[in-house]
Amino acid sequence: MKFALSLVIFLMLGISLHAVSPFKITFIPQWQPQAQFAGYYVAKEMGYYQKYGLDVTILPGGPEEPSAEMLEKEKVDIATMFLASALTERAKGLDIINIGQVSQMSSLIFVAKKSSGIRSPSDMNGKKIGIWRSDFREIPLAFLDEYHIKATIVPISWSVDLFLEDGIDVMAVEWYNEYHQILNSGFDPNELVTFFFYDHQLNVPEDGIYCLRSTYLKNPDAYNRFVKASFEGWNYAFLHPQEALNIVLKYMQKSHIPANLAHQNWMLNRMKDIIQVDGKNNSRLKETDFARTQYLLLKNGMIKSNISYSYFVAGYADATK
Amino acid sequence: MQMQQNRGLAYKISLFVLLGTLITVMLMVALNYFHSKALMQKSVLADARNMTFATINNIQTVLVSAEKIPFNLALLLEHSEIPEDKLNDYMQQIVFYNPEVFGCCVAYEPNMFPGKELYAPYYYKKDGKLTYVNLAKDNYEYLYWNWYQIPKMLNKPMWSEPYFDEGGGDIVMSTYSVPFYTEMNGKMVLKGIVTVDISLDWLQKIMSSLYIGKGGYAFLISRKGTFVTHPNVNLIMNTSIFTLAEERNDKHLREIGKRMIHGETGTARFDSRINKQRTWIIYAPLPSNKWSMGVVLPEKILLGDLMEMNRFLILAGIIGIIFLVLIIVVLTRRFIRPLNKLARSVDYIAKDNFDTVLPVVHTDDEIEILSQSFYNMQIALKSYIKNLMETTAAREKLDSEMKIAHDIQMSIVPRTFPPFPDRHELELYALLEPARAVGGDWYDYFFTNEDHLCFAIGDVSGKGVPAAILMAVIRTYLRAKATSLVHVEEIMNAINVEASINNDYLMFATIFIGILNVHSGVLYYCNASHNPPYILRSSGEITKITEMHGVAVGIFEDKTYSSDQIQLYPGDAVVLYTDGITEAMNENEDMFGYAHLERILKPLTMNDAKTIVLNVREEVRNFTGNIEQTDDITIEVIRFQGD
Repeated sequence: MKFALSLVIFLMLGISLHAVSPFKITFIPQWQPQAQFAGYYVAKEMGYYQKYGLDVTILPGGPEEPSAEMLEKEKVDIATMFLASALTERAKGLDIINIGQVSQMSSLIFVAKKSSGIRSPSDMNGKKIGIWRSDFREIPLAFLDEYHIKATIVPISWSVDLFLEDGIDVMAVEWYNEYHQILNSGFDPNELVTFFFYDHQLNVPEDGIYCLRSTYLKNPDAYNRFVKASFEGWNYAFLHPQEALNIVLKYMQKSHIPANLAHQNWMLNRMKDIIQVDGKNNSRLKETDFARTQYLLLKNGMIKSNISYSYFVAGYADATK
Repeated sequence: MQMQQNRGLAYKISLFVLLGTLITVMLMVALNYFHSKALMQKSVLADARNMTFATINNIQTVLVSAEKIPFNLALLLEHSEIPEDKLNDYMQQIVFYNPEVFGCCVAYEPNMFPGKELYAPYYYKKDGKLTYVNLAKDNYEYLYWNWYQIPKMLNKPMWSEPYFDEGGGDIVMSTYSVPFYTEMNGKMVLKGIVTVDISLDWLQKIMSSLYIGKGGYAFLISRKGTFVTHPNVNLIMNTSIFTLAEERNDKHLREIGKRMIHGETGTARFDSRINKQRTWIIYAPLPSNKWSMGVVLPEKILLGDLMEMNRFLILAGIIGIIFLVLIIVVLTRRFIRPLNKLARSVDYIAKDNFDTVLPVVHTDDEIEILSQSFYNMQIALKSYIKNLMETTAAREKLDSEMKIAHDIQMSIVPRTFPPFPDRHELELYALLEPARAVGGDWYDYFFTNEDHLCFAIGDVSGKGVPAAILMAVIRTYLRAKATSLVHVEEIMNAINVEASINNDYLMFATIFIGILNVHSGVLYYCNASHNPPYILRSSGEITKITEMHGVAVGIFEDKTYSSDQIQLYPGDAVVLYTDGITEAMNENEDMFGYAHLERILKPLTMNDAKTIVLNVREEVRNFTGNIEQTDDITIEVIRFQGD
């Protein structure tokens, strides 16, 4: 009898039992703390991870801590990555899987100053184009390939200063980040020309949640709960932007990153545009988006062989249960 | 009452002067404000601009001297091959001997330093110690940093955007990078970049030491608009003027920021979104690094002195007004004091004290004139009152004589009706209304014997006492002669003789005398120019007795009068009257007239004597209305009734 009662209580307290022995997860976003990752910080601060029986440690990302490397060296359990980068890494042999897709549309833009005379993609021929030298460079390169643009590629780190100083004519930027930095360096939208990748058959969604297949298989349920809790975090952030921004700013200050509210606010709003494409959260990587991305990468020689969708998102079906 | 009036005058004058002065002072203050405002603004803004340029010069001097360090080293590196140990010595000395230099780096392009693929020695101060690191240890990393890549791409020396020092402290730094080149195959090729990191600690100090006034401050922004210095340290490096504009949704601020980063010099007004203050901003670029300095001046500062000046003006105005009011009150009271005394005296005079001595006034102004006027008035008034009293006394005396005369007149005419209550043969009624106290009309009636009634009516020329006396004389003669003489013309003759003798005043009288046999109805009559009487026949017929028997009595002593006779029948009446009836005038100066009289008498033939008399009188009164009666009115009616 006593045993039966204990069993009932055990079942009723199912979720809270997770809190008793939380599952430890270490997570790194692919960049320094900013509103691009608001959902995770909010999920952590609002106790959503805890609610799902997880003890999540969020490491500050950045150029010194590339996500793929961190996963490979098993310094973290979960990392965010661009879809293209993840596929490239997968092709190179890193056995990672997509356990959740955050971004549902490309936010990449080629931006040029109107004063450069560039009005269409073909005008970029012979110009200096700034593209990130390490990560996130695959799709911009695919764009140039698509339009057969012969231009001087200037590898740049992460700042828009070279563009502002007229060291380059065109620069690949994220709508939610660098584009706004340019606006906030004194350029008005009408002084700029933008080419949204979304409008140029290069709609490759970006941020996704990844982990090693081997890590995932140890406790698929816990990793699926991570995705679920993270999306609850995003949801809360979009509904309570002011609160979410305060949380983000807190993490930025912790990492000594100069922060300003206007920029983070812009970023959070763009993340909402990117994530809630249909007006609601969707944590699933669409097979069409996957196929398009793989096709682009194959075509441009960035990957050599096909990867199966079901294999790449293995465990995905479980994660959405 | 007087005191209140006086206070009122002082109060009114004070009030008007106060109002006038107040308006003048207000106008002056307003004019001063608007006129000075523009001047003041101009001068304060000019001062602030000068201060801005002076500060920029100061900063520029330091920056230019800092620029020389890497520039000289770059020059050296371009023109000579310097061995590694020597290069390191130079760099150490640069950092060691230049307090403002935080770090120094010579970063080479790949394979440009002999024997090394990548080389970027960097000396910097860490915890006060000179520290070395080769930035090439992280592979190609340094080639893509802004301080390297931007001057490389632009082929020119550059100041970097500001950044916080590597030590995580809050010292703002900026790196000055100078590219250096070498000739290869006849072409100038980039060899590397020399940099010095300059601490901008002093910048903050310079900026915060500027005295701008309460609420005013100075700041610096970088080429991107990022705050390099600002009194709010939280904004430094974190925020640009554009993000601030976005947070405040202030397009104007963004516009100003754009002008600043484009190297413009200017002055603009913008209204702070934070405290709703009108604010001015002055901005100018730093030539070296194209940063921009801004000086923010709340309009309050600009107009601070002006406000003070205005306050002073208003205060001076108020003091002046108080002073003015005091003077006005004192002076007005002083001016009014004699007026006050005068008013009291005049008031006393008004209470019948005509001998009151008026106060002596020597003010040599209108009050003295007024006082003199009052004095003259007092004398005139006294004389007038004296006259008035004398006249009144004389008038009273006369009035009393007139009263006596009236009494005589009214006692002469019989006024008892019916006069002969036991004589049924006739009926009689008469009325005399003198125009003044004493008139010249009279009437009489009396029995001369058992069978004969004598009746008469007359009008003595003139009015007043002499007329009354003559009337009394005539009436006495009538009574005396009528009893002794039978014939009516003899009676008239006798009266005429008496009235003519000793008639020094040349008075005369019209008389009608009738003697009626009360049994037979025969009427003997003599008319000395009197108004013709009427006979009202009982048949309703009216006859006028028009016969005249001579002129008025008292004119010709030897004149003899004749007479006539007429038969009356029972019911016939004789109506006698004076010209007071027929010549009565209404307001249009129309006379009552004979025709009118006959018209009234016609329906009255069958009425008794009293009714006829009163009706005629009433009709005359209706005719004259409110016009004062000018002549005596007399009417006498005798009705023969027979036996």
